[in-house]
Amino acid sequence: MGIFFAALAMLLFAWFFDSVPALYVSVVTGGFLAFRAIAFLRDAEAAAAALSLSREATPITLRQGGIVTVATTLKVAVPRGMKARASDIPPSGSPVIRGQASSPDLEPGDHSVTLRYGMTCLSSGSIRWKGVDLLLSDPFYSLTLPFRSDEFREPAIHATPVGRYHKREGAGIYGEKDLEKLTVVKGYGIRAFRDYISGDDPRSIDWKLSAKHGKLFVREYSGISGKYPLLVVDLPDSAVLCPQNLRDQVLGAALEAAREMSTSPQGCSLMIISGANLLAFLPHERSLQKVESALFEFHSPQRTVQCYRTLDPIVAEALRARISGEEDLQSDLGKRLLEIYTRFIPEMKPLPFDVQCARVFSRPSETALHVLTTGTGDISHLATLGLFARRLGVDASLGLPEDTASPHLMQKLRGAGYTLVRVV
Amino acid sequence: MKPGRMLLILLLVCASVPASFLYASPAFPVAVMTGAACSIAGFIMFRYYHADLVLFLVVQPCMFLAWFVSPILSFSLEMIFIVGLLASIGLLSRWGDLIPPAIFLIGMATIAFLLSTTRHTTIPVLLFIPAAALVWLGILGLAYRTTARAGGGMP
Repeated sequence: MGIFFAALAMLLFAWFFDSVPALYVSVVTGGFLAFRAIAFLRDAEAAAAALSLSREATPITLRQGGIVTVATTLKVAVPRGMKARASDIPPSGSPVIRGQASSPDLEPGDHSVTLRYGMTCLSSGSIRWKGVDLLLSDPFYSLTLPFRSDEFREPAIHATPVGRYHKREGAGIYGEKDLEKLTVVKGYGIRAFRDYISGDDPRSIDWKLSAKHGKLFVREYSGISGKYPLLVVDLPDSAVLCPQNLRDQVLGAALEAAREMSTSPQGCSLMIISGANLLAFLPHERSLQKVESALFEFHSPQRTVQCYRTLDPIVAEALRARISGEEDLQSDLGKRLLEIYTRFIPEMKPLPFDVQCARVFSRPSETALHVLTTGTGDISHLATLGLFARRLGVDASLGLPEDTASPHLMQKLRGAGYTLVRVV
Repeated sequence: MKPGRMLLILLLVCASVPASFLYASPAFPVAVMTGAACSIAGFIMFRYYHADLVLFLVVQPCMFLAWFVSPILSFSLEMIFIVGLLASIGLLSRWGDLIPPAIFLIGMATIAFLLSTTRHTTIPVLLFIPAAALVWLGILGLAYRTTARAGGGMP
């Protein structure tokens, strides 16, 4: 960076003072930077082509929350004059709890590095690694090469879900029954059979039918009734720095909830937002794969619409009514404020997000709302969601990571219309 | 040899050569002061904060002064210093590694020759800015391609 600014300064000097030597120095320093950039990228491409990986994880099938021991062997050819650092990127919602998923700095030459670490699977279902990152650096430049192809994401591990929704007061994510999860209740009649999906409760497998047809079938029980919630996942703005573990915790919790909801008769109604920007809406989706791909598709959304300090027309009307009802309206300020509200309220138009929320909540099936958010940045859109839920009599709950769940924020969110604010 | 010592020696050479050539000219005091300042700065950098790239920046005023002696001298000193810098950071360990710097230095020699024939910088600067922009756009495109196509295990 210093050389770049030196080249720029010399160029300006040469231009303003008509100095040929300064221009020459500027060209040499700038040209040297460009020459090194090209050489660096050429070497980086060679290093990228030479990287290979083999990953072993034990066990492959485990209960949700269990620990997986991972041994990732990377073969890296580090070009001369460079240093490299390889990092294994665990799946979302699977934090590393022991060992290191990153290699130390590797000097030039051929290396075979084995990264041994343990991670805990907080999410359920079929989980794959995100890939590998290779950081290459020389005294001039550094570049992170992301390896995200399928061969760097193998193997898949299967985490069988366990109930993680704790009993709580009031209405829950699955309605008024306050079940720990959507469990099979013995004694209820069988409503249907369907194909086994990895992660299904093994107790619900119908072994007779499975043996007859040569593939696994699970029983779907009738009698499970209650509210079917709309799951809203609020992803953080990619333009604002947000720790990766917060995003992972939210995605892990969302996957876990979606996993259970997708096996219910109504499927999973999923709304993915980032602030006041609707990214995707999947009503009654029963394919967990579609839900997963929707969640991972928007890994770094940009909030094109910000609703910070946006005033809702109905709230504005309520404020106007309160001001007009005050006795000391004789003051100039009160009169002026009332006049401003009176003039502006007819002109106020709802945000597109408000319209989208109204359409989503107007569907008769949505009788509960569950929001998962990192709780970072502006929370106006969460207040909008809570307000809509309250207006339409929809039971709203909200989950956020422990790191951001400050008492002040939780109190603020409770005041925004959420009957329950909890830590995920 | 202690890492960086070779570059320090090259810096001292680059600092003293223009001053010695400018003896008895009006620019001599300036050349001596600049050479001394660069030498002291280079020694401090070498002694307390070893960074080859900083030495590359520190030596540039001497190249600037050397131009007033002769563009060839300026180019020669620049060439010697760049080769020393690349060797110091381990990028010239084989004969084959000399080819890319040689191509770069041939380009710089051409530019030095063209600039030595001009008196004003307006036209060269107007040519240099779009050329630099194009080169850096190309580098950004190459960086994007390298990042986007990183797959590993490719032949």
